[in-house]
Amino acid sequence: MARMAVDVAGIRLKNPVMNASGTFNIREADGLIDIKRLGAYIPKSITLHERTGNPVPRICETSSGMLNSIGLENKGVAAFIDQELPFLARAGVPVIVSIAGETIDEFAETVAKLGEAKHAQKTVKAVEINVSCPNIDRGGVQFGSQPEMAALVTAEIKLVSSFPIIVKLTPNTGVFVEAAVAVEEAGADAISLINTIFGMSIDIMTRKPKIGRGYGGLSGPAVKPIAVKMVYDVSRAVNIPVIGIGGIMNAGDAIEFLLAGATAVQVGTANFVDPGIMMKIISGISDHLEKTGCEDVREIIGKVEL
Amino acid sequence: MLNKTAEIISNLVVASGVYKMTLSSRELAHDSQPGQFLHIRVNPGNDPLLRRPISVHAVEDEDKISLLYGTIGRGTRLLSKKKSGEEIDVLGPLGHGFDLSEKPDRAVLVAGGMGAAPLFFVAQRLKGLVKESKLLIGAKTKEGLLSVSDFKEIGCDVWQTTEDGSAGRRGYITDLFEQALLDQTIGGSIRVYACGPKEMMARTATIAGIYNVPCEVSLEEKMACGLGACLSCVVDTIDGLKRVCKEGPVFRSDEIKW
Ligand SMILES: Cc1cc2nc3c(=O)[nH]c(=O)nc-3n(C[C@H](O)[C@H](O)[C@H](O)COP(=O)(O)OP(=O)(O)OC[C@H]3O[C@@H](n4cnc5c(N)ncnc54)[C@H](O)[C@@H]3O)c2cc1C
Ligand SMILES: Cc1cc2nc3c(=O)[nH]c(=O)nc-3n(C[C@H](O)[C@H](O)[C@H](O)COP(=O)(O)O)c2cc1C
Ligand code: FES
Repeated sequence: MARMAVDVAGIRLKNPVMNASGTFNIREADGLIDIKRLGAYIPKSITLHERTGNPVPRICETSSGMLNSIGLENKGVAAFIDQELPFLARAGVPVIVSIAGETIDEFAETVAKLGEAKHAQKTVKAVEINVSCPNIDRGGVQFGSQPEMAALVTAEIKLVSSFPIIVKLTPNTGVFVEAAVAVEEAGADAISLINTIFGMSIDIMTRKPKIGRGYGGLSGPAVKPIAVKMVYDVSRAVNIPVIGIGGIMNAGDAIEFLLAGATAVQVGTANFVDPGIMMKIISGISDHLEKTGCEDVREIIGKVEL
Repeated sequence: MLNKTAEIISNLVVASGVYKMTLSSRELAHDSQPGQFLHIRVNPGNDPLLRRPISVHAVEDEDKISLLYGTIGRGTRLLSKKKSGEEIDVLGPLGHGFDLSEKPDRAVLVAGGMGAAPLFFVAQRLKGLVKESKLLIGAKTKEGLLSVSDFKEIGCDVWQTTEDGSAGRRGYITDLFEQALLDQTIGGSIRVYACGPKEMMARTATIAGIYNVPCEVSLEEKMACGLGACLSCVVDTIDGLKRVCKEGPVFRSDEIKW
């Protein structure tokens, strides 16, 4: 058996596979996967205060993909600490908490609150800073697409918490490499990308957009080549680990990201199609390593041959 | 396990653009409750990508269930092309179904169009346990009145409406609903189980509210995971947002903010 462990943001993961925020809930996954086999688990992004999200329809299927505009519906950090953390503390999997916000203060306050929580230091291995949500009016893509803002958020969070920081970047900008470099300089411990790509779909009979908010974020196999290229570019520009996300449907897709330069991967939309897929991806990567004579998954990271 | 493959026993046209698919699965036949649904992967590739939610229509026997579905778009058309002997990938049974723990004297089922699909399973389960099951079924035309003979066969008293007057009374099924509640041929407690277009269920809910009879509705919303994880399928209720795939698809009608 090839060794599967990787180090990301100072955490040792038993394998490079985790879920993408907002696409998998281990509370609802009873019997569908063996949670303990996941490299890490990332709950849906939380914010300082409760958010009710966007109007329905919140999703629509597109060619080999989907648009969503959930709008970060969540109960807020206090409810997360009360209701989710105790459960997560017993789940037997490293937890990375995804944080979103509309202002820098909100991001920092949310992380600070989390840091003070009873179970947090033991349970939460890192925070993922979502400066890339396309479905809120402020603080999402607006932060992630400006390198200075992304860096400022990172630096402010660094000041208030001891958690390792993963910054999740948006593909909705031409300056994503600059953003990656800026957050690295501001102290980020890892970078994850991509969040979803702005997209729109229109019903030709009603002439109305197919999702309630008008537009949303594209995910699924349709975005994979874009994501692989972005991961390739970013992993060459920074010295911190990169987590590859976008359209991973099987082990082969995950391996592509590793070859492009990702140290680990997140699986999103594929969970909707096959809730057991992350287990198959873990086994599939292991089988591939065996078949290609690799003893350690780290042997293939960034090894695309040009 | 929720995730399973089931063999298709038959997949037959029962009306224009409507199919009945029978699946072999002892587990599904045993576990399914009226109002619950299966989340079906219509093909193994990436397009169409998402699963399709379809209600359990009936438990045929101890190892068979059936689905009744209309061909709406690509997913259901692909489903309609499946042949007996093929296997399909289903997740389920999912969601929270109708509450049949309390049996009324009189069950009133209100079906609009494809809404007849889950209500047949309700009628099946209530058979022999209630004094009367009345089916109020409405559709655009005669062809859209689904499963009427099946409902009659298990003893339902069937009242029909069509929008074009081609069968039953001309109009909407909610026009008959009040009359059905007032019909005292058989007395006793009433419960209402409804499924159909949103406006129909909203109207049904209003009338049930006025007469103070318990009413449950089966809602539809666009779904990705079907498991309560993605928050795609929410509906506004008096207790805040709830997930149609998890807390629903069946809700008490007075709980919904219509
Ligand atoms: C809980 C539940 C139970 C259902 N039970 C039945 C049933 O028993 N029989 C039946 O005929 N239909 C049922 N439906 C509706 C059925 O899911 C849709 O008709 C079907 O998804 C259409 O897919 P399509 O690819 O043919 O259409 P398309 O319009 O091409 O589908 C595009 C996307 O929209 C979604 N979608 C389209 N219409 C609906 C809808 N009405 N509700 C939810 N999502 C929709 C699809 O799932 C897909 O993601 C049910 C829906 C829900 C939510
Ligand atoms: C329904 C849905 C909800 C999502 N919610 C979040 C979220 O709360 N926070 C976040 O950082 N990303 C969220 N995402 C983005 C995913 O985590 C991921 O970055 C993106 O979908 C691309 O990966 P995929 O193609 O594998 O889905 C969401 C995506 C979807 C489809
Ligand atoms: S479909 Fe994902 S929560 Fe209901």
